[in-house]
Formats: sequence, C-alpha cells, structure tokens
Amino acid sequence: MNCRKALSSLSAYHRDELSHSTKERLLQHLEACPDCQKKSAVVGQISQTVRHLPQHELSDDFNMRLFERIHNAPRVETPVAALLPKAAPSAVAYWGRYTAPAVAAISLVIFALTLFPVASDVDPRLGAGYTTITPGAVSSVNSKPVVFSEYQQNVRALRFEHSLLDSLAAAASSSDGRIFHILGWQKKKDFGAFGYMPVLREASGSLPAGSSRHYVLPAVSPTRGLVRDAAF
Amino acid sequence: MERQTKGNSLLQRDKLPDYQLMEQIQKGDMVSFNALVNRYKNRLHNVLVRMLDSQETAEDILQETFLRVHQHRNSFDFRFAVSTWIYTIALNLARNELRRRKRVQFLDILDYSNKLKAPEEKVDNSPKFMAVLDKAVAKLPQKYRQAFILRDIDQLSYEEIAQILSVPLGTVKSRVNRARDMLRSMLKPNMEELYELSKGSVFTLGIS
Repeated sequence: MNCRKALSSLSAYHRDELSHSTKERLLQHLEACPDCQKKSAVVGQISQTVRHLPQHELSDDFNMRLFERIHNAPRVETPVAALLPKAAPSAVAYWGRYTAPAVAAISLVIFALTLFPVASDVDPRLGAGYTTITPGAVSSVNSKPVVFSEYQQNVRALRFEHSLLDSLAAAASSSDGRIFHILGWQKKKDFGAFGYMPVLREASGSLPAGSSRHYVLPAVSPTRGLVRDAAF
Repeated sequence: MERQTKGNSLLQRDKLPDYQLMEQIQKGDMVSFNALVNRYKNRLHNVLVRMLDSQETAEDILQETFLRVHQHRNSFDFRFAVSTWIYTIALNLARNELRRRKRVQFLDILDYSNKLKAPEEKVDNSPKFMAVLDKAVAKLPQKYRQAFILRDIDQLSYEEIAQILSVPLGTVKSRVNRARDMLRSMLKPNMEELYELSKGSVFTLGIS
C-alpha cells in the first residue's frame, strides 16, 4: 500500500469499516511510514472529536408545543406513500436516469460547437454579444424534455451539478418555445466542486415566425469550458 | 393497586422497543408517543441543526416531523424500522426547506450574497478545535454533509442512510468518504494542533 491509498483508508480504518486484508495492509504501511502514522493520529483525532461535537439543545417546551399542535391540528390523512421510506435504489437504477440526458448533452455539445462559428446573427431583443443559432438548424436535436423547477413566473433557475454537458442538455431540451436569458452562473458551495447554477430569466418578445426553438450561445470560454451567457 | 400498575407501565414505556411503542401509539396512547418523541428528538434535532445551520428552523421542522408521525401513525408499515421512517420524514422536510431557500435566493440575484444563510452565532464554550471542526462540517456541500452527519455524527449504518436518503448504498459510502476527505483537507491548517491533541487523548495510533 502506498501513502495515497493509506491516506484514503484512514478515516474508514478509524471507524472500523475496513476489510481485514485492507486493514492488515494499512497497518503494515503505517508501521513503516512515520508521516502516515502522524496523519493517522490526526484523522483518528478528527473521527473521535466528530462524535463529541457540542450538542444543540431543544427548547424546554418542545413537547408541550408539539402536543398543542397535535391537539389543534385538523385530522388530515395525506397519501402516505410519500412518507414511507423507500428501499434504496440499485446503483443501476439510480445512475441510469442520467444516461439519456448525458447522451443528449454530448450530441448537443458536438452539434452546438459545430454550429457556433457559422451562426453570428445578433438578436436585437437580446442586445449585443449574443450569437444566434438559427432555429431551423437545431430542429434535428433529438432530446427528451427535462422539466424545469418552477421558481417564479418569470424567473427560472436550473440546477445542475456535474458539468457543462449536463447544463446544456437540460437547458436545450427543456425549451418549450420561450426565450430565456442566462443572467449568470452561480457557483454554489452546496453543489461541491463542480456546482454551477445558471440563473435564468424569461425574455420578453416572441420567437421568429415559424421557429419552434431558439438558441443563443454567445461565448464559450475556452479556459473555463463554460457557456457564460445564453438564452434559449 | 391500579395506580401502581399505571405507574409501572409509564416507566416501562421508555424501555419498550420502537415497534411496540408504535403499536401503542396506533391504539391512541399519547404517553407512548411522548416516549417516542423523547427517544428521537435530540438526535434528530442535532442532525437538522447541522443540515440547516439554524436552531430555530431545525426545531420547526422537528415539530412538523413529529406532527406527521402522529397524523400518519396508522399508516406506518411495520416492515420498516420506526427510526428510518421518522428520519425519512425529517430529512424530506429538511430538504424541502433547503430547496425553498434556494428559490428565495434566486428570486433576487442582486441580493444573493446577503441572503445566504449564515450559521447562527452561538455562545461557544467548547474547545477551539471543536469549534473549528464544527465550522468545517458546516462548510461541507449539502449532499455530502447529510451523509456525513448521519454516518459519522449520528452513527447510523450505511444501510439505514441509504434508505433514508433513498440513494444506493455505494453512493452513500462514496459521499461519506468524500466528506471525510474534504473535512481532512479543510483541517489541514490545524494538523499540528490535532496531532498534539491526539498524543494526549486516549486514542492511540492504532499500531502496536
């Protein structure tokens, strides 16, 4: 076992989650490596401390208020299916739902990049800086619709977590004929290292006659690999 | 005599396993319900506070959780563990709250930075490293934080967490591992301090 592997096993080791053989190999490594020994001590200290973090106290009248609420609550029975714990899905079922959007995303990105240098119309409704891809050109995109989360009538935001590919897939395939500006991208710590959230606003105006879809992809940053502004 | 029997059974409620309490609750026994609330309220409250960074909201959600447990007591399916059921309800409510916060944030993008929920200030008597660790946990991205809190702080099993979060077992494991790695990276500046502490703790290096 090398240091990198040892380091990644340390937390599991201190929680007694390692298999016997991995544990043996880790211990062998620790015996020979003072640096990892030190790290092991630190990780152990973290694991131990985490279990004794300060407790947050509930208000004294918690139960009393709860019982009052129960007493005053209307007798409601909502569908219980949503409340029941579900069996954890299998990995195949869980990740399988990303397959269709991923395929759509890849084909769309290839497609968008092909079109990008050609399309250069500026849509006056959107202002300078937007490069319009003519609607007819994208009619061959075959992707399943992805439902947006509704936030407010004119402001919609779409969450994506993994990469640019996901965002393009969701954005393009969920177009229902309206035009949206992507006002910006918010990097969100909630979403981890690759978490970006486009902030969308529905644009005024209507689509050019005869078009069913309308994509505006202004700038792809070669360094960041992100579409920085877009309306669709 | 009757009073004594009653008194004994009240004491015994605390010792009853969850499913027996649930049977009593289904018969309308509020004392059993009270015992169930007491059994889980503090644990769950701590999970919720760490997830939501707010004592007040955590308490509201906890109230709502137990209210629903009570409302739906007759629909409880005894194939499941009572604890998993309660946690699932609580975590679903907490996640709804987090989604609601995101909506609010994005309605007014210009005011975005002001609306990010800052952890509440609280009097902190704990040792410095504990406060540092507490803050580091609060900085973990939400989905990793959830798994980490349930596993390493609340000490649930991976199987239970997979059911509660409704994600595959492997995903839970990788989220917990990722959270632990992130935490370790965040605590790098405190490594020397933690090392010194480890020397004085009952904890050993794990090698003999």
